[in-house]
Amino acid sequence: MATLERSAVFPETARPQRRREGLRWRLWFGLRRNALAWVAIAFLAVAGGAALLAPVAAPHAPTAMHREVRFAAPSANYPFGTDEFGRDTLSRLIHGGRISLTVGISSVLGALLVGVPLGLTAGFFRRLDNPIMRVMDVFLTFPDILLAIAIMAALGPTVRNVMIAIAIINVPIFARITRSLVLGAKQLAYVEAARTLGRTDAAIIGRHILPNVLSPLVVQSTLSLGFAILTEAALSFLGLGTQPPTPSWGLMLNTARNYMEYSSWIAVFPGLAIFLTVFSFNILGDFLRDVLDPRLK
Amino acid sequence: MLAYILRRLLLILPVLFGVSTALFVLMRVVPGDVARTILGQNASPEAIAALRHQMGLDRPLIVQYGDWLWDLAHGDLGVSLRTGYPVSTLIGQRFPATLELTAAAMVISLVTAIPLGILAAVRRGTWVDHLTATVGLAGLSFPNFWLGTLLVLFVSLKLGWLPPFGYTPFTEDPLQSVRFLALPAITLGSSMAAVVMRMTRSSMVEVLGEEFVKTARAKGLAEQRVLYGHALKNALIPVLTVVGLQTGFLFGGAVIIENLFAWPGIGRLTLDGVFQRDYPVVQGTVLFVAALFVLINLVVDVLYSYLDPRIHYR
Repeated sequence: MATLERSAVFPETARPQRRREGLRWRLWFGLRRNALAWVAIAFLAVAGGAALLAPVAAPHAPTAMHREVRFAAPSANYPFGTDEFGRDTLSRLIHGGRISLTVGISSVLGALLVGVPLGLTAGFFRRLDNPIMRVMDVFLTFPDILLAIAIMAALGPTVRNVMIAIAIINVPIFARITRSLVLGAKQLAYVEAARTLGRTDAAIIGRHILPNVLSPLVVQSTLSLGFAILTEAALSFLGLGTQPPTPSWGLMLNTARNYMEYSSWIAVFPGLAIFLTVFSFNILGDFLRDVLDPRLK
Repeated sequence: MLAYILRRLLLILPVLFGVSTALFVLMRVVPGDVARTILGQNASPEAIAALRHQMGLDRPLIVQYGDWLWDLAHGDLGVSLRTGYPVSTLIGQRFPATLELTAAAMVISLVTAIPLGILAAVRRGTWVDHLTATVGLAGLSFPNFWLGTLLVLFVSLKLGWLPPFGYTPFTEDPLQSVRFLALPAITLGSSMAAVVMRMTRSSMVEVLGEEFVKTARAKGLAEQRVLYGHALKNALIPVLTVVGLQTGFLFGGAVIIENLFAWPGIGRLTLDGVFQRDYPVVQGTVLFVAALFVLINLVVDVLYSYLDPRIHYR
């Protein structure tokens, strides 16, 4: 009965089903024309799978030292060579990928969990708009890497703190996007209609406004993921993130600087891993933006 | 116009207030006792108490906050715990090197990015456009500290063309100075180049579709005149915003690049401060860069109205 009533009052509730089909079609159609997006998805699937199954996927233990093969060039046994302790670079990259992806995903999730409610509140309740957004503006005043460094300086260099720092950088970005989308969605006829019908604020936000702001948030999350991985690598590279002997891409690159005269390989592969992962997320983000939100193109 | 600039300058004050408050809070959430962290676990309680007193940490938080704001209002950023020098003096010593680096990075990125962006827009939809789009996205994804590492590895260590690190002020020995500057500036400028190129392309594509460009073509102007006389001028306005924003990020990115190339600028000062737990230095340098960022954005906004007479400021 309730369903009947809703669709009677809002004929457009029938739309989400159609829209979902349309979305699936658009994704598929877009993918068929975008070879680069395929490559990005394939790379992320392989990298993510390897990171997830790291103990099984890595040919060696990430901290096992093989002193007889220090600075080895790529070979069958050590496909990406070895480092200054004779540790297998590929295995360390696979295990490092776990850290990169964990930091990336949890910091973006954290930023979403804080930023989206803040943006929804600011956009929906006029009185709270100014106080919330001015605080967000303060955070946007810092160049992001500098804010991350300042936060790490205060909290201390651990992986958990890296996640917190990157999440804090991203919160104002998500809050800002959500707020502007909410301001737009508030004007839509069916939101006005829902209000006229006496729906509660929570119901209006949850049922009518949130679905409207999802697409741009998906796009931003994808781009933020790449950025978070880049920032984690930068912080570890500076010595402010993951600490040895835990393998992390940025940290591997940092130590490589001291030894790259003996073996160029150790400076190449960690950077390549960071670059390809971030590049893939950016390609995916660009692709999703074109598909989900053509207006932003 | 003057009234607008003055009003904007006044509006900076609450922003700076917010920024300094945020930094104050951040530096006070340091887990554990700051004095103990600085002196190490084996320090005597007397030494810790003395340092706490010297840093003013034994006073109520609200008094500390008031003092911090009062000193800031007088241009006093505090005193370095390690060297005993005023933080503002240290910033004054290091700022020229950072300015040199960021200015060079900016020139390099603009000189490469704007022509490439125009080219991509003019050849829209061709392989040139697709190639520059991919290169641009790759540039955004390229960790600049990796680019710097690779440049040192191949250009300095393998080929021996340029020194891997070092610094000479431009006024002392221009040639040597440029040799030292080249690699860090290219490294720092690369990610900005990618952003500016993407923006130039999309802005130029948009402008090229506008009526006044059609009119210019219709009245028989040479294509060069249409592109550079009419379209580019208008297309560069949004690019300017991005350049302004990116300039702020250059100062942030300088922390990494200065560390990589042992460049004696503010970025290294900040990072040394972090490692030596010299909190006043970290606080002061970060605040300085944030203030610079705010000022640059103001300058961009003012430049806007010069470039685009359609924008009126009240």
